[in-house]
Amino acid sequence: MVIFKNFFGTSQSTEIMTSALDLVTVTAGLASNSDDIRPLLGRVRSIAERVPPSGMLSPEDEAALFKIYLEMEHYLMTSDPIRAYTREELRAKASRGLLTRLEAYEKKA
Amino acid sequence: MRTVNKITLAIILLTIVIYLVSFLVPLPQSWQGSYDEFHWALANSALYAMLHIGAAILFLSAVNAYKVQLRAAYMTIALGVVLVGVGLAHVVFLNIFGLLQSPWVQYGGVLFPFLGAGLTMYFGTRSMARLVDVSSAFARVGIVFPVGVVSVVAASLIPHAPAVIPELSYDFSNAINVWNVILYAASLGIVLRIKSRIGMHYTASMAWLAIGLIGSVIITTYVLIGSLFVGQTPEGRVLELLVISGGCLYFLAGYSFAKTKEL
Repeated sequence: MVIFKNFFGTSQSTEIMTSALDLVTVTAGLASNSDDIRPLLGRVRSIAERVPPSGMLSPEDEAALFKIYLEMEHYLMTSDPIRAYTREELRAKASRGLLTRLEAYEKKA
Repeated sequence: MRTVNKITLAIILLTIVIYLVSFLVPLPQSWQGSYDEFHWALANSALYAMLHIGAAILFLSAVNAYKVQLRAAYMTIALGVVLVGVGLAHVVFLNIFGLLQSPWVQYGGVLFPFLGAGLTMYFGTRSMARLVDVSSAFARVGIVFPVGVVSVVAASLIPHAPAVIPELSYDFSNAINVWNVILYAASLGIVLRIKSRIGMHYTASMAWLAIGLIGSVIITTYVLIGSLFVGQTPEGRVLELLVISGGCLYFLAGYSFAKTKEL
Protein backbone atom coordinates (compact mmCIF):
# COMPACT_ATOMS: atom_id res chain seq x y z
CA MET A 1 0.00 0.00 0.00
CA VAL A 2 2.95 2.33 0.73
CA ILE A 3 4.25 1.74 -2.80
CA PHE A 4 0.89 2.73 -4.29
CA LYS A 5 0.64 5.76 -2.02
CA ASN A 6 4.13 6.88 -3.07
CA PHE A 7 3.29 6.29 -6.77
CA PHE A 8 0.27 8.60 -6.57
CA GLY A 9 2.03 11.16 -4.39
CA THR A 10 0.49 13.07 -1.50
CA SER A 11 -2.68 14.85 -2.45
CA GLN A 12 -2.58 18.59 -1.94
CA SER A 13 -4.54 19.75 1.07
CA THR A 14 -7.83 21.48 0.37
CA GLU A 15 -7.95 23.03 3.82
CA ILE A 16 -7.40 26.70 4.50
CA MET A 17 -3.71 27.35 5.23
CA THR A 18 -2.78 29.27 8.33
CA SER A 19 0.99 28.83 8.25
CA ALA A 20 3.51 30.37 5.87
CA LEU A 21 5.26 26.98 5.69
CA ASP A 22 2.08 25.29 4.44
CA LEU A 23 1.50 28.11 1.95
CA VAL A 24 4.98 27.71 0.48
CA THR A 25 4.80 23.90 0.42
CA VAL A 26 1.45 23.81 -1.37
CA THR A 27 2.49 26.54 -3.81
CA ALA A 28 5.69 24.63 -4.65
CA GLY A 29 3.54 21.65 -5.64
CA LEU A 30 2.00 23.69 -8.45
CA ALA A 31 5.25 24.00 -10.39
CA SER A 32 5.25 21.85 -13.51
CA ASN A 33 8.98 21.19 -13.19
CA SER A 34 10.30 21.16 -9.63
CA ASP A 35 13.87 21.58 -10.93
CA ASP A 36 13.01 25.19 -11.83
CA ILE A 37 12.35 26.03 -8.18
CA ARG A 38 14.97 23.76 -6.61
CA PRO A 39 16.98 26.62 -5.07
CA LEU A 40 13.80 27.93 -3.42
CA LEU A 41 12.93 24.45 -2.14
CA GLY A 42 16.38 24.16 -0.60
CA ARG A 43 15.80 27.35 1.37
CA VAL A 44 12.36 26.10 2.50
CA ARG A 45 13.91 22.85 3.67
CA SER A 46 16.52 24.60 5.79
CA ILE A 47 13.80 26.71 7.48
CA ALA A 48 11.50 23.69 7.95
CA GLU A 49 14.29 21.80 9.74
CA ARG A 50 14.37 24.35 12.57
CA VAL A 51 10.60 24.67 13.06
CA PRO A 52 9.73 23.37 16.56
CA PRO A 53 7.21 20.55 17.08
CA SER A 54 4.53 23.11 17.93
CA GLY A 55 4.76 24.44 14.36
CA MET A 56 5.12 28.04 15.53
CA LEU A 57 7.34 30.05 13.23
CA SER A 58 9.60 32.81 14.47
CA PRO A 59 8.95 36.23 12.86
CA GLU A 60 12.26 35.94 11.01
CA ASP A 61 11.42 32.50 9.61
CA GLU A 62 7.94 33.63 8.61
CA ALA A 63 9.42 36.63 6.80
CA ALA A 64 11.93 34.38 5.04
CA LEU A 65 9.11 32.08 3.94
CA PHE A 66 7.05 35.00 2.68
CA LYS A 67 10.03 36.11 0.61
CA ILE A 68 10.32 32.60 -0.86
CA TYR A 69 6.58 32.46 -1.45
CA LEU A 70 6.61 35.75 -3.37
CA GLU A 71 9.42 34.45 -5.58
CA MET A 72 7.45 31.25 -6.25
CA GLU A 73 4.31 33.24 -6.88
CA HIS A 74 6.13 35.38 -9.44
CA TYR A 75 7.52 32.26 -11.13
CA LEU A 76 4.10 30.59 -11.32
CA MET A 77 2.45 33.75 -12.64
CA THR A 78 5.05 34.46 -15.30
CA SER A 79 7.36 31.55 -16.06
CA ASP A 80 5.72 28.19 -15.49
CA PRO A 81 5.68 26.49 -18.90
CA ILE A 82 2.22 24.96 -18.71
CA ARG A 83 0.04 27.35 -16.76
CA ALA A 84 -0.14 31.02 -15.89
CA TYR A 85 -1.63 31.22 -12.41
CA THR A 86 -3.24 34.36 -11.03
CA ARG A 87 -2.38 35.89 -7.67
CA GLU A 88 -5.96 35.30 -6.52
CA GLU A 89 -5.79 31.59 -7.37
CA LEU A 90 -2.51 31.13 -5.53
CA ARG A 91 -3.66 32.97 -2.42
CA ALA A 92 -7.22 31.57 -2.38
CA LYS A 93 -6.50 28.93 0.26
CA ALA A 94 -4.62 31.22 2.64
CA SER A 95 -6.47 32.17 5.81
CA ARG A 96 -7.40 35.81 6.34
CA GLY A 97 -4.78 36.17 9.10
CA LEU A 98 -2.03 34.67 6.92
CA LEU A 99 -3.01 36.88 3.98
CA THR A 100 -2.92 39.96 6.19
CA ARG A 101 0.60 39.12 7.40
CA LEU A 102 1.72 38.34 3.84
CA GLU A 103 0.38 41.64 2.52
CA ALA A 104 1.98 43.50 5.41
CA TYR A 105 5.32 41.88 4.53
CA GLU A 106 4.84 42.79 0.85
CA LYS A 107 4.26 46.45 1.73
CA LYS A 108 7.43 46.54 3.83
CA ALA A 109 9.57 44.73 1.24
CA MET B 1 -20.90 19.78 -6.64
CA ARG B 2 -17.60 20.57 -8.36
CA THR B 3 -17.72 20.94 -12.16
CA VAL B 4 -15.42 17.99 -12.79
CA ASN B 5 -17.63 15.74 -10.66
CA LYS B 6 -20.74 16.89 -12.55
CA ILE B 7 -19.12 16.14 -15.92
CA THR B 8 -17.92 12.73 -14.69
CA LEU B 9 -21.34 11.82 -13.35
CA ALA B 10 -22.99 12.89 -16.61
CA ILE B 11 -20.61 10.71 -18.63
CA ILE B 12 -21.15 7.71 -16.36
CA LEU B 13 -24.94 8.08 -16.58
CA LEU B 14 -24.83 8.44 -20.37
CA THR B 15 -22.59 5.36 -20.61
CA ILE B 16 -25.04 3.33 -18.54
CA VAL B 17 -27.97 4.48 -20.69
CA ILE B 18 -26.18 3.64 -23.95
CA TYR B 19 -25.09 0.27 -22.52
CA LEU B 20 -28.67 -0.63 -21.61
CA VAL B 21 -30.16 0.68 -24.89
CA SER B 22 -27.74 -1.61 -26.78
CA PHE B 23 -29.80 -4.56 -25.55
CA LEU B 24 -32.83 -3.17 -27.41
CA VAL B 25 -31.18 -3.06 -30.85
CA PRO B 26 -32.87 -5.54 -33.24
CA LEU B 27 -30.83 -8.54 -34.32
CA PRO B 28 -29.36 -7.99 -37.83
CA GLN B 29 -30.07 -10.62 -40.46
CA SER B 30 -26.32 -11.11 -41.03
CA TRP B 31 -25.76 -12.25 -37.41
CA GLN B 32 -25.04 -15.98 -37.15
CA GLY B 33 -24.81 -16.36 -33.38
CA SER B 34 -27.38 -16.18 -30.60
CA TYR B 35 -29.54 -13.24 -29.50
CA ASP B 36 -27.59 -12.86 -26.25
CA GLU B 37 -24.16 -13.06 -27.95
CA PHE B 38 -25.12 -10.22 -30.30
CA HIS B 39 -26.38 -7.92 -27.56
CA TRP B 40 -23.48 -8.54 -25.15
CA ALA B 41 -21.00 -7.89 -27.96
CA LEU B 42 -22.81 -4.69 -29.00
CA ALA B 43 -23.18 -3.44 -25.42
CA ASN B 44 -19.52 -4.12 -24.62
CA SER B 45 -18.29 -2.35 -27.73
CA ALA B 46 -20.47 0.66 -26.82
CA LEU B 47 -18.89 0.53 -23.35
CA TYR B 48 -15.33 0.50 -24.78
CA ALA B 49 -16.15 3.51 -26.93
CA MET B 50 -17.89 5.49 -24.16
CA LEU B 51 -15.13 4.89 -21.59
CA HIS B 52 -12.47 6.16 -23.98
CA ILE B 53 -14.57 9.03 -25.34
CA GLY B 54 -15.50 9.93 -21.76
CA ALA B 55 -11.81 9.97 -20.82
CA ALA B 56 -11.07 12.30 -23.73
CA ILE B 57 -13.92 14.62 -22.68
CA LEU B 58 -12.47 14.80 -19.17
CA PHE B 59 -8.98 15.56 -20.50
CA LEU B 60 -10.39 18.29 -22.70
CA SER B 61 -12.58 19.75 -19.92
CA ALA B 62 -9.47 21.01 -18.14
CA VAL B 63 -7.25 22.17 -20.99
CA ASN B 64 -8.52 25.74 -21.07
CA ALA B 65 -6.78 26.33 -17.71
CA TYR B 66 -3.43 25.68 -19.34
CA LYS B 67 -1.18 27.36 -21.85
CA VAL B 68 -1.58 26.73 -25.58
CA GLN B 69 1.32 24.28 -25.87
CA LEU B 70 0.01 21.99 -23.12
CA ARG B 71 -3.47 22.21 -24.56
CA ALA B 72 -2.09 20.91 -27.87
CA ALA B 73 -0.22 18.09 -26.11
CA TYR B 74 -3.24 16.97 -24.13
CA MET B 75 -5.57 17.26 -27.12
CA THR B 76 -3.19 14.94 -28.96
CA ILE B 77 -3.23 12.49 -26.04
CA ALA B 78 -7.03 12.71 -25.86
CA LEU B 79 -7.22 11.96 -29.60
CA GLY B 80 -5.05 8.89 -29.02
CA VAL B 81 -7.38 7.68 -26.27
CA VAL B 82 -10.43 8.19 -28.51
CA LEU B 83 -8.78 6.32 -31.39
CA VAL B 84 -8.08 3.35 -29.09
CA GLY B 85 -11.70 3.15 -27.93
CA VAL B 86 -13.31 3.83 -31.28
CA GLY B 87 -10.88 1.46 -32.99
CA LEU B 88 -11.77 -1.37 -30.60
CA ALA B 89 -15.49 -0.67 -30.78
CA HIS B 90 -15.59 -0.52 -34.55
CA VAL B 91 -13.89 -3.92 -34.85
CA VAL B 92 -16.72 -5.40 -32.81
CA PHE B 93 -19.30 -3.57 -34.92
CA LEU B 94 -17.71 -4.93 -38.08
CA ASN B 95 -17.90 -8.43 -36.66
CA ILE B 96 -21.49 -8.33 -35.44
CA PHE B 97 -22.80 -6.64 -38.59
CA GLY B 98 -21.07 -9.20 -40.84
CA LEU B 99 -18.53 -6.81 -42.37
CA LEU B 100 -15.32 -8.76 -41.68
CA GLN B 101 -15.02 -9.65 -45.39
CA SER B 102 -15.31 -6.01 -46.43
CA PRO B 103 -12.35 -4.34 -48.20
CA TRP B 104 -11.92 -2.08 -45.11
CA VAL B 105 -10.95 -5.19 -43.10
CA GLN B 106 -9.33 -7.30 -45.80
CA TYR B 107 -6.96 -4.53 -46.93
CA GLY B 108 -6.02 -3.38 -43.42
CA GLY B 109 -8.01 -0.16 -43.21
CA VAL B 110 -9.42 -1.40 -39.90
CA LEU B 111 -5.95 -0.96 -38.38
CA PHE B 112 -5.61 2.76 -39.08
CA PRO B 113 -7.30 3.89 -35.82
CA PHE B 114 -4.82 1.75 -33.87
CA LEU B 115 -1.83 3.06 -35.81
CA GLY B 116 -3.09 6.57 -35.18
CA ALA B 117 -3.60 5.84 -31.48
CA GLY B 118 -0.02 4.74 -30.89
CA LEU B 119 1.46 7.68 -32.80
CA THR B 120 -0.73 10.36 -31.22
CA MET B 121 -0.18 9.00 -27.72
CA TYR B 122 3.60 8.98 -28.25
CA PHE B 123 3.86 12.42 -29.81
CA GLY B 124 1.43 13.88 -27.27
CA THR B 125 3.45 12.66 -24.28
CA ARG B 126 6.67 13.66 -26.03
CA SER B 127 5.33 17.21 -26.52
CA MET B 128 4.43 17.36 -22.84
CA ALA B 129 7.95 16.25 -21.83
CA ARG B 130 9.53 18.94 -24.02
CA LEU B 131 7.19 21.54 -22.58
CA VAL B 132 8.21 20.86 -18.98
CA ASP B 133 11.84 20.49 -20.02
CA VAL B 134 12.10 16.85 -19.04
CA SER B 135 14.58 14.83 -21.06
CA SER B 136 14.21 11.12 -21.67
CA ALA B 137 15.71 8.56 -24.03
CA PHE B 138 12.12 7.47 -24.67
CA ALA B 139 11.38 10.89 -26.16
CA ARG B 140 14.09 10.53 -28.78
CA VAL B 141 12.58 9.50 -32.11
CA GLY B 142 16.07 8.48 -33.25
CA ILE B 143 16.05 5.76 -30.58
CA VAL B 144 12.39 4.72 -30.41
CA PHE B 145 11.64 4.45 -34.12
CA PRO B 146 14.62 2.21 -34.99
CA VAL B 147 13.72 -0.01 -32.02
CA GLY B 148 10.19 -0.15 -33.41
CA VAL B 149 11.38 -1.10 -36.89
CA VAL B 150 13.70 -3.81 -35.58
CA SER B 151 10.91 -5.19 -33.37
CA VAL B 152 8.47 -5.27 -36.30
CA VAL B 153 10.97 -7.18 -38.45
CA ALA B 154 11.76 -9.60 -35.60
CA ALA B 155 8.06 -10.23 -34.92
CA SER B 156 7.40 -10.99 -38.59
CA LEU B 157 9.88 -13.85 -38.37
CA ILE B 158 8.09 -15.54 -35.45
CA PRO B 159 6.20 -18.68 -36.57
CA HIS B 160 2.43 -18.41 -36.15
CA ALA B 161 -0.78 -20.35 -36.63
CA PRO B 162 -2.26 -20.24 -40.14
CA ALA B 163 -3.81 -16.80 -40.69
CA VAL B 164 -7.58 -16.57 -41.15
CA ILE B 165 -7.23 -13.35 -43.18
CA PRO B 166 -4.85 -12.86 -46.15
CA GLU B 167 -1.23 -13.33 -45.00
CA LEU B 168 -0.23 -9.77 -45.99
CA SER B 169 -3.09 -8.31 -43.92
CA TYR B 170 -2.11 -10.55 -41.01
CA ASP B 171 1.53 -9.44 -41.16
CA PHE B 172 0.46 -5.80 -41.44
CA SER B 173 -1.82 -6.23 -38.41
CA ASN B 174 0.98 -7.79 -36.36
CA ALA B 175 3.40 -5.08 -37.46
CA ILE B 176 1.02 -2.40 -36.17
CA ASN B 177 0.56 -4.24 -32.88
CA VAL B 178 4.32 -4.54 -32.36
CA TRP B 179 4.77 -0.91 -33.32
CA ASN B 180 2.11 0.13 -30.82
CA VAL B 181 3.63 -1.93 -28.00
CA ILE B 182 6.88 -0.02 -28.55
CA LEU B 183 5.14 3.38 -28.76
CA TYR B 184 2.94 2.79 -25.69
CA ALA B 185 5.97 1.57 -23.73
CA ALA B 186 7.97 4.63 -24.81
CA SER B 187 5.04 6.90 -23.87
CA LEU B 188 4.95 5.19 -20.48
CA GLY B 189 8.67 5.84 -20.00
CA ILE B 190 8.17 9.51 -20.85
CA VAL B 191 5.20 9.91 -18.48
CA LEU B 192 7.08 8.25 -15.61
CA ARG B 193 9.97 10.66 -16.17
CA ILE B 194 7.60 13.63 -16.16
CA LYS B 195 5.95 12.29 -13.00
CA SER B 196 9.30 12.19 -11.20
CA ARG B 197 9.84 15.90 -11.88
CA ILE B 198 6.42 17.45 -11.88
CA GLY B 199 4.93 19.24 -8.86
CA MET B 200 2.74 17.38 -6.36
CA HIS B 201 -0.41 18.95 -7.78
CA TYR B 202 0.01 16.90 -10.97
CA THR B 203 1.55 13.67 -9.61
CA ALA B 204 -1.70 11.71 -9.36
CA SER B 205 -2.80 12.62 -12.91
CA MET B 206 0.56 11.48 -14.29
CA ALA B 207 0.35 8.29 -12.23
CA TRP B 208 -3.07 7.43 -13.66
CA LEU B 209 -1.94 8.22 -17.22
CA ALA B 210 1.04 5.90 -16.66
CA ILE B 211 -1.26 3.13 -15.45
CA GLY B 212 -3.51 3.66 -18.47
CA LEU B 213 -0.48 3.24 -20.72
CA ILE B 214 0.53 0.07 -18.85
CA GLY B 215 -2.96 -1.19 -19.68
CA SER B 216 -2.44 -0.39 -23.37
CA VAL B 217 0.90 -2.21 -23.40
CA ILE B 218 -0.69 -5.28 -21.77
CA ILE B 219 -3.71 -5.32 -24.10
CA THR B 220 -1.66 -4.85 -27.27
CA THR B 221 0.83 -7.52 -26.18
CA TYR B 222 -2.02 -9.90 -25.40
CA VAL B 223 -3.57 -9.33 -28.85
CA LEU B 224 -0.18 -9.80 -30.50
CA ILE B 225 0.68 -13.04 -28.69
CA GLY B 226 -2.86 -14.33 -29.07
CA SER B 227 -2.87 -13.75 -32.81
CA LEU B 228 0.36 -15.75 -33.15
CA PHE B 229 -1.45 -18.72 -31.61
CA VAL B 230 -4.83 -18.47 -33.38
CA GLY B 231 -4.01 -16.72 -36.66
CA GLN B 232 -6.29 -13.76 -35.95
CA THR B 233 -7.13 -11.25 -33.25
CA PRO B 234 -8.14 -13.29 -30.17
CA GLU B 235 -11.73 -12.96 -28.97
CA GLY B 236 -13.45 -13.80 -25.71
CA ARG B 237 -13.99 -12.70 -22.14
CA VAL B 238 -10.32 -12.10 -21.31
CA LEU B 239 -9.90 -9.52 -24.05
CA GLU B 240 -13.24 -7.90 -23.21
CA LEU B 241 -12.26 -7.56 -19.56
CA LEU B 242 -8.81 -6.21 -20.46
CA VAL B 243 -10.27 -3.62 -22.82
CA ILE B 244 -12.95 -2.51 -20.36
CA SER B 245 -10.30 -2.26 -17.62
CA GLY B 246 -8.07 -0.26 -19.96
CA GLY B 247 -10.95 2.09 -20.70
CA CYS B 248 -11.62 2.55 -16.98
CA LEU B 249 -7.95 3.39 -16.38
CA TYR B 250 -7.94 6.08 -19.06
CA PHE B 251 -11.22 7.38 -17.62
CA LEU B 252 -9.55 7.69 -14.22
CA ALA B 253 -6.59 9.43 -15.88
CA GLY B 254 -8.96 11.89 -17.51
CA TYR B 255 -10.78 12.53 -14.22
CA SER B 256 -7.51 13.01 -12.39
CA PHE B 257 -6.27 15.50 -14.99
CA ALA B 258 -9.57 17.38 -14.96
CA LYS B 259 -9.21 17.81 -11.19
CA THR B 260 -5.88 19.59 -11.65
CA LYS B 261 -7.72 22.55 -13.13
CA GLU B 262 -9.08 23.40 -9.68
CA LEU B 263 -6.55 24.42 -7.06
